[in-house]
Amino acid sequence: MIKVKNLYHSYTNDRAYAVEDISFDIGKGEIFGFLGPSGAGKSTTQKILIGLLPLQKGDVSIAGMDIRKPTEEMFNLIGVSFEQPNLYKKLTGLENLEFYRKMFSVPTEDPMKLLKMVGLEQAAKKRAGGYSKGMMQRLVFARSMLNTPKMWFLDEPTSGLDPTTASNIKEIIWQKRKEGATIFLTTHNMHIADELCDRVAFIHDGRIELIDSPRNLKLQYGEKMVQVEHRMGETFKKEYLSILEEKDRQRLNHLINQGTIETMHSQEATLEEIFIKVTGRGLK
Amino acid sequence: MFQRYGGLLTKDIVTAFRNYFFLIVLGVALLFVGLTNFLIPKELSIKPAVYYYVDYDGGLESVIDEAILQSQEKHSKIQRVEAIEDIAKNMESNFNSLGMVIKEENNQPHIQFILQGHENEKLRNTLILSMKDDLRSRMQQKIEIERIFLNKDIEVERIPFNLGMIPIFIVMESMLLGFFLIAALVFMEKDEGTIRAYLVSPGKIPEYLMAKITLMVLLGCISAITLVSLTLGTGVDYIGMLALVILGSIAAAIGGLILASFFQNISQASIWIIVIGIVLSLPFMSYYMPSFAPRFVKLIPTYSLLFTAREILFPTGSREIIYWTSLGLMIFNVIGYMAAVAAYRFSVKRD
Repeated sequence: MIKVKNLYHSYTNDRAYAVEDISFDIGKGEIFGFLGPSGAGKSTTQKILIGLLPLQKGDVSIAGMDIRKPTEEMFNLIGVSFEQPNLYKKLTGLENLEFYRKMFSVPTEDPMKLLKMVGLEQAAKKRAGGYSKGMMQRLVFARSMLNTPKMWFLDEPTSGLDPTTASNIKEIIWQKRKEGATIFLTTHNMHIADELCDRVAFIHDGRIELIDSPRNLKLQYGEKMVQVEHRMGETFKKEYLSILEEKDRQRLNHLINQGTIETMHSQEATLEEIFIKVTGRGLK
Repeated sequence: MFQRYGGLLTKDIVTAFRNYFFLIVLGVALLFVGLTNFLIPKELSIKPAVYYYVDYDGGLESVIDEAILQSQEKHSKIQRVEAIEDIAKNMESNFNSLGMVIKEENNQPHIQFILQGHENEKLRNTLILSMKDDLRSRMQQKIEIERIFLNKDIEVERIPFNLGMIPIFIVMESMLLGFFLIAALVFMEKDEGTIRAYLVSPGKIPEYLMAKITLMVLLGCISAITLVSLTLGTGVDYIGMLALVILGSIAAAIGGLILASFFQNISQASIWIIVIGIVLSLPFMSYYMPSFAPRFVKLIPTYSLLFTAREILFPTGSREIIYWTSLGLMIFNVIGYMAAVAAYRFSVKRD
């Protein structure tokens, strides 16, 4: 669906690249996570892909269409949910969607249906300027679905949302993926990426450090650990034991035989831990 | 394309309405109507009225009558009275007046001016010299007075002062207000970041700009129709006036769009808005002081707009100014629109 080859971009038109030699492919129906800390080059890459920044060097195609010459057909195909809630604040939520749907020359979704999906049906006739940040975020998310995008760009779609609403948004993303949408998810939230993405790319200082599925990354970089919480008299003690080391295995057997274990969880590395391991810095 | 343009225009109209743009335009137009109809006097002349009495029936009587008639063409406030006492009576009731008595002395006409005593000397001398000159020239029958420029002035003078302000109001509000309003609208959208959302839709920049220009034309027409219909009534060339307002509004809107493309917010642009506003206002001075018309002032677009609006509303037969101004505006609008599209294509990538 998306092919990016040797992508470079410099804001100063010199060799100080904000993104440098980035290449990746995203298959149809895939959720591709683009993970990196602020200033790593996530937004620059996404802006180039959606046509907000010119393609200076490299090749990018969406559904076989070269983005150097973006056509109406290409924009009918994509949907973008921005992190910053860019809405017409003097228009109501419904009016915002009614206006935006007129920009497309393909069949569009019923705005009211989308507002219901994101839980904004009660606020449909309220001006967007009076929405909370979370409501604006949901309206922007709903707007990005108007044209039933085949290629859906999501920039921090659950940022600033409460857990219930965030869960609802994740459900919608899953549903759209099932319906065949290809999703490019930009985030620094590793939990979201872990839950949603088929593959993730770690971007750091404008370069992609690695691309793989979260499961493979965990297998590759994670340590096989068990977290055990057991009773010691009147108190509880938490221990991390490796199932690869003989000493730890014996300790685990001992605790099991003692019958003092209260909770036991297998431990795997989080994406954030893997990111730190790979890049040497955190995602914040 | 038309669906998108319609959607953009509807959105802009609703946004403008909720930002009170229509109310502002209508309010300002009604303010100007009020000023024109009730506050600005119909005549604002510092020339004094002249009351004259002729006590002369010599051989040159017809020449004197003719000369006074000529003076009346230049200065409409010359009134003949039937008795010499009437001059004093009229002068008492009109502080800004003087009297003139034409008598016979030594078989020659003798002119006596009666003054209030407080007159501006420059004006008083100008008027007296002018009348003396008219009388002398007729009596000696040497000078044939050239009337070409005088006649033009007479036409201008016949426009009541208050109505003569209408072309200024039309240029100021119906056209130039669009320059500021469209910039305000663009800055509002830049602040909201909505242009980014638009740019990732199939919408195009030319459609985006065209919708905003159309809104400004609509506001300009509402303003002009309100202003002209409530001051000049029906006896006006509305088609010509609206054509000028449309062309002028488009030009002003394009100017505002180009200006707004260079800045992120209105405070960054404010100094330029003030400077441009002052420059565009300079021709208003020339409008009431035709002697102040240096070449650079004539090159400012509002100069042509003002005199074209006046020619349309108060025709004198000088249609060329209408044709040339319209042609100039059309050329500017085509080139300006293309420049605005290019400026926005550049600025959205830059921002």
